[in-house]
Amino acid sequence: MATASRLFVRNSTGLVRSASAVDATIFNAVISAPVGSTIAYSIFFALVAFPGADVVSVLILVAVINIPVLIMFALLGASMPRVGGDYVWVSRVLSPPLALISNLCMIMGGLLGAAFFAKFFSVLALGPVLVALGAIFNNSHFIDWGNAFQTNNGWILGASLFMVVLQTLILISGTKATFRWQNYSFIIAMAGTLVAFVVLLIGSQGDFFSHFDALNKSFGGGNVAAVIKGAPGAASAAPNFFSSATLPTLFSIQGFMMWNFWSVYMSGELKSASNRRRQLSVMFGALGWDTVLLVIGVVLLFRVAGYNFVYALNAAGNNAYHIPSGPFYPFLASLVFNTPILTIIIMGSFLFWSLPSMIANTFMPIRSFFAWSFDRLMPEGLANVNERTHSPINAIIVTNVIIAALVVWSVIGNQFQLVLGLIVLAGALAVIIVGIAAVSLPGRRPDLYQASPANVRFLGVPVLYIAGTLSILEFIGIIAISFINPLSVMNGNRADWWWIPAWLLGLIVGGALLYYIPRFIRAQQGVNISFVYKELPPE
Amino acid sequence: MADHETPILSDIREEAERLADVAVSLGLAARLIGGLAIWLRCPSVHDGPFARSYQDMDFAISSAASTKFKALLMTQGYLPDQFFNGLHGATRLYYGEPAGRWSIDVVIDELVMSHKLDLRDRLDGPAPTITLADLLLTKLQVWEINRKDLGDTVCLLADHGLSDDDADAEGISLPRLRSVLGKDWGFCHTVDRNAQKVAELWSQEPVPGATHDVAVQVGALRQAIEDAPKSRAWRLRSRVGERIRWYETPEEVKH
Repeated sequence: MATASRLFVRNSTGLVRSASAVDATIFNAVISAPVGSTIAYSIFFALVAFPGADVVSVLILVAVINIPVLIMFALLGASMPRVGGDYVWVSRVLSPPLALISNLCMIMGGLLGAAFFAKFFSVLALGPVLVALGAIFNNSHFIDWGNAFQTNNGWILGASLFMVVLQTLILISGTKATFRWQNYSFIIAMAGTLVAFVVLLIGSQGDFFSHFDALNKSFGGGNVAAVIKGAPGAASAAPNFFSSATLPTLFSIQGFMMWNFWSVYMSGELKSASNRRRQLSVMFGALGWDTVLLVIGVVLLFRVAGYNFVYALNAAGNNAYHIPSGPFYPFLASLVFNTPILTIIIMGSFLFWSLPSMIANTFMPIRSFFAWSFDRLMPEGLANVNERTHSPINAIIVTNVIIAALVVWSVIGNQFQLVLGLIVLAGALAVIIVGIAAVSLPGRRPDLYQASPANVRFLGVPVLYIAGTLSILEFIGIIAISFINPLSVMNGNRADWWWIPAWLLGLIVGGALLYYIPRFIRAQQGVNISFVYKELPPE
Repeated sequence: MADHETPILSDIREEAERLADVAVSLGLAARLIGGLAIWLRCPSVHDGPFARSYQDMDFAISSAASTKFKALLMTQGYLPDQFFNGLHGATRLYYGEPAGRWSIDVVIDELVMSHKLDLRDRLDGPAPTITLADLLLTKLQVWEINRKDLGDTVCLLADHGLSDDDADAEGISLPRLRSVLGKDWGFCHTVDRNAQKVAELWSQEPVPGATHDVAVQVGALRQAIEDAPKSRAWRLRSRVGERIRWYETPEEVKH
């Protein structure tokens, strides 16, 4: 029968999941190295913190070293596309306590990341934008408010916690609504960043310097030459990939770039999540997007402003720089033409980078709490869903209360750089554990491996062996770099080296307790929770 | 025959009819869809070449009726898949028969498979199933269509004529088909493609004693679709054609 040859087999009513490949790619792109916020500060921080940093080369190097990590996560994600990601894989391949440790690391990365971007909104977005607009448009109120959002703890807490409340409401409104907010915010923010790129592409260095000189002089500062002269070492600064600056710069940039696998945590909601190509495309799509645009952005700024001037601008305490606004990327791009419309577009859109990054960071812990709850590690009430929006409202509220607490800690304790370092270390430990699970999967769970999309070989060797081993080695290296460079994690003080093992040990002990305490409590109730780990959870 | 502790009947077809009738009697915007809806409305599928067994039943409900329908299933003894319902409950629900004999899939407000069929405001008719036009659309929207879908569609078209009256409960409403397919080129394209397969199957395996000639019905259906007014979005999308994928591929979920 002609028709029969083109018929399909279907055993049950199919499901079209709610998140598209575009949703997942943006999800990765806004958590890993959101172009606008990363380029605004993080990259140029490295110029002065690590003199001689070759930012462009390190960006490309970081993209390359993330390739095996993403392959590993994509293969595992396609093989076991479940809510909980590494929690499911590690618990089923290695052991439940290890799964709780790796998952706790990722959760801490997500919670700290969300807190970081909440504070980022006030201190590094709203505040600087208001100051910059005030400086350009000569409005002292904007400058005052902007300064308050950067320096006054009350104002910072107000703006940061506003963002936490906003994202709580968005997350409660449901998955589809959440992705709409994520995507629209990203599109607005990205559009402004691309406008900045175009401005830097077609603008001239002469115009930029002349606008800068005029503005800086209006606040009593010097011209471009004076600013370069005012920063020790700026005049002779030059990028050198083979300098000692490369490793700490790599740590710093990897801290942002390593998270392009984050979409595994939305696998339960991602269309065709069990398709290897889909997993690879959303991860490498985000990595490629971020890397290419960051490199372009850096090259364009250096083209117009020059390496030495950008170095000088980022140097602390430059006496020739008097503009109230910090020298962040959108502000500098706005100065190229110095026209009100372009300035408002570039600056205004910059405010939209925080929200999608917060949402992506927060999404993961919520889903993990949800998965833990179904495995009886947490009270079942944590998995309760709202009748109207069908969002896990208790898990959302618990997660955001923790984020709010972390925001308060980071504001009052002024531990911004420390937060970033801790996020990287937590992620590194988790990737190492996931790497061990990846290498172990073919041998320990051949039943899961043989028929899975992860069963691919390169030169006869299972790709999981290669990708897993490389991932483990890379992240052991990342942890080693953090020991060497105080600026990475230790708030600049080498005497604080003990923070690193203390943090890692805390995560290990905390993760183990998250398994053994509920197991004990459930055993008292006559429930042996270890049985749930013998099978994959439902989709 | 009812089980000891629940009112659930032992035959899935009788049980589907019973549940659907209970929902209608309670005034819930919940109607049967899928193969068992065809079984209820089309005698041709009871025996003959397209008679078959059923493993699951499907309901379409409105989001407003969701809470009451869930309560109904619980009181009838059905067991929710809490993980699935927690994760996908905004659009889909899944319940199991206590002895594991069958399952119930519930779509909320719209059927989202290869194409999207909005069923809001279409779930309060007198019948225990969705309307015949919507039933036809739920079958013909399947891009990876299988023999069961085609057989069900053959029987639907063999037993019910096309009708220009949307209120005709025993006719397949052409106004509804035109309205849905005139807005969405992809949906329209899949339906047209599958309609040809239906005619092909009918020519090979006609239903004995059919009230209508399915080949004629398919011809009339395709003509009605072609004549239907098209939206601007339909026309724009038609220019792109098959160069961009126009359908989704639903996944089977392991419960």
